Amino acid sequence: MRRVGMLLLILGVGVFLGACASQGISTPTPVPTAPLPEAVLTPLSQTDYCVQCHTDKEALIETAKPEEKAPSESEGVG
Amino acid sequence: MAPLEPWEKVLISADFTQSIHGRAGCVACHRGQQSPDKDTAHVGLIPDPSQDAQRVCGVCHGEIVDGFGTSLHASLQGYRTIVYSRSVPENHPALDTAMQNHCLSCHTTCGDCHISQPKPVGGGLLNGHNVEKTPSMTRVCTACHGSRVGAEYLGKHEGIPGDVHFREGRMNCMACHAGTDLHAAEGDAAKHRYWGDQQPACKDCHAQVGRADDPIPQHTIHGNKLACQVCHAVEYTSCDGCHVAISEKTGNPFFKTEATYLSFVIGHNPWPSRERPYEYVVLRHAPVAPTTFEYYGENLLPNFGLLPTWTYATPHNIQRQTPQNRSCNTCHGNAALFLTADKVKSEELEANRRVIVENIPAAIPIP
Ligand code: HEC
Ligand code: HEC
Ligand code: HEC
Ligand code: HEC
Ligand code: HEC
Ligand code: HEC
Ligand code: HEC
Ligand code: HEC
Repeated sequence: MRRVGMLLLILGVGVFLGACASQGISTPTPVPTAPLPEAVLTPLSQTDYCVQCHTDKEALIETAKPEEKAPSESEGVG
Repeated sequence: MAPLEPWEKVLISADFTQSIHGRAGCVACHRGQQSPDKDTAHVGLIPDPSQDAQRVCGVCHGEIVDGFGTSLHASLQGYRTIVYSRSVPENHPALDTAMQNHCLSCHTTCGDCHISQPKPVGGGLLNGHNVEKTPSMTRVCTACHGSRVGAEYLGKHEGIPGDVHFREGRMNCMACHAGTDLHAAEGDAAKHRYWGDQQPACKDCHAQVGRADDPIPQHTIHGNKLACQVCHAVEYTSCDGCHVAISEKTGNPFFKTEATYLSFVIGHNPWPSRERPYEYVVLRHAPVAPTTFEYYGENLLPNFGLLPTWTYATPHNIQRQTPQNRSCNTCHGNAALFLTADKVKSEELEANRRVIVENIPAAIPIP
């Protein structure tokens, strides 16, 4: 039962990603400025921008917003 | 623990994308959209997909997800049970708003234990998004349970040793708190952590204690009259007078506790039951006051007197030898250890009537 469920999920997600991919084809894809890291093997060999950025330390350092932590006004042990 | 850099919190390891949990692709769980531009990609993003565990984990872990609603980590029902007990139904809406503002950040999702550091310490992936089977004691459990349980267990209070299970046994939280216990609660335990079975019970592992062949007289003499912690715990944290409010400056919720102190207090069991038959347990002062929620309305806890403010406790600093168990008369006849009326604030006397010890056990004549 569990296996079947899993298969269904993987298949379902495949369909879902397929939908994204076809959208990607109809709009021109911007050319990546850096060569794709080898490690990025995307499921449908389409560019997966989420993976591309989140596995690229430099890209993350560039885009991460500095953390603005509002000083907490709490006092004492919570 | 050095805090994670912003990029470290979100850096994904390549092996995750190939794993059973990553193969589905980011968008399947997090939504958002494919785009090389960060802001565009994040439109409609769900930061913690396991807020809806049924959708993202349920297909494969159906049994765990189905039971999870009963766990106190998911429901935070323990707080509601106690706060409501001191109040009346008309006040529930105002109290719900207060709890929504001040307690929700402690709500724990699957991801908070298995994927990311919990939100109260700023989040961030534990291990490149890989799903960790065993949550890290220090990066997960004590990130939330740090100020009381963690400090006691790990021995962070000066002059007070850590728990023997940590010092000698090198046991982590999970050695006693199994996944199945954290994933769901049964019966009364779904309403409050000390209602229902002891989970765990000391005797699960120390079955010999108190049996006829137990060579330790203190064990056999007292039977089930005393909780184990009465003899085996040492000073632990209590708090007084927590008040919550919303900041006028920032709009953020905040709290103030009037006092935090270490003490060791034996009193009567506020919740005796078949599973917890003790007459005496250790008590800690809960940070509640009649005015705790006054920011949200007047007199929201009209039944303050119904529940003791000195409440059932199970400190995590177990020792074989403690100041109180060194001999019979380090405890018998030693009023300093017991919750006598003079130690209770006058406005809380009524609430604590049933846990106050009127007659401390008499000193045992030395033959
Ligand atoms: C199976 C569902 C699932 C998939 C697939 C998935 N994630 Fe996650 N992700 C989660 C969960 C659950 C969390 C934990 C969030 C929490 O506890 O706050 C998380 C956390 C994160 C975090 C950390 C957030 C934080 O600050 O703690 C990032 C970044 C992230 N995911 C990005 C991605 C990317 C990029 C992908 C694709 C490579 C991806 N996720 C795939 C479910 C998923
Ligand atoms: C596609 C099915 C699937 C989905 C969806 C899924 N899991 Fe799993 N999970 C598995 C399988 C299969 C295993 C066993 C993997 C193994 O033994 O390596 C597993 C193992 C685990 C483990 C134990 C890790 C280990 O190394 O043994 C945890 C914890 C876990 N999953 C949590 C989650 C959480 C939290 C979610 C939702 C964010 C989730 N899973 C979604 C299939 C899934
Ligand atoms: C996001 C914060 C958070 C994290 C992470 C967390 N907890 Fe908790 N935990 C809570 C809160 C809040 C409660 C109280 C819920 C209540 O009483 O309603 C709680 C209750 C408990 C309880 C008593 C209720 C029960 O389910 O038995 C135990 C035991 C516990 N936590 C152990 C752990 C352990 C072990 C870990 C690490 C694997 C952990 N917690 C991680 C916030 C957290
Ligand atoms: C999951 C099993 C487990 C649970 C539950 C447990 N213990 Fe232990 N306990 C152990 C183990 C194992 C040791 C031995 C640690 C070592 O010395 O390596 C130990 C050691 C001890 C010792 C020290 C004994 C010595 O010889 O020095 C005391 C005292 C003790 N436990 C009391 C308690 C109390 C009180 C509780 C309940 C609050 C409790 N234990 C719950 C497993 C457990
Ligand atoms: C030696 C066993 C043992 C270990 C190790 C242990 N606990 Fe506990 N814990 C207990 C017992 C016993 C209780 C009381 C259970 C009951 O009465 O139902 C408890 C209760 C709790 C509670 C609910 C009561 C409270 O004080 O809030 C929390 C939260 C908790 N443990 C967290 C942790 C965390 C976090 C760790 C690791 C740092 C940990 N525990 C390690 C035995 C243990
Ligand atoms: C309070 C922390 C906590 C939360 C919240 C939590 N888990 Fe767990 N989970 C654990 C612990 C502890 C284990 C046991 C780890 C071990 O045995 O090493 C575990 C084990 C697992 C396992 C492996 C079980 C096995 O037998 O191999 C899976 C799968 C899992 N959790 C899924 C989930 C899912 C899905 C959710 C949300 C519905 C969730 N967990 C929420 C603490 C938690
Ligand atoms: C009235 C006090 C008292 C109570 C109550 C008590 N103990 Fe003990 N316990 C002692 C004393 C005294 C020792 C021996 C200390 C020493 O070695 O000097 C001891 C020793 C132990 C040891 C180590 C003994 C061994 O054989 O290695 C364990 C484990 C233990 N207790 C567990 C428990 C548990 C579990 C409970 C609750 C079911 C409990 N104790 C209740 C006083 C008490
Ligand atoms: C840490 C505290 C503590 C220690 C140590 C302790 N006791 Fe007690 N003892 C108590 C308490 C509390 C009671 C319950 C008094 C009552 O019934 O109200 C009690 C009750 C008793 C009773 C009455 C038992 C009954 O069931 O009516 C006897 C006898 C006794 N203790 C003997 C001893 C002897 C002998 C020692 C040393 C070997 C000892 N105690 C050590 C706290 C302690």
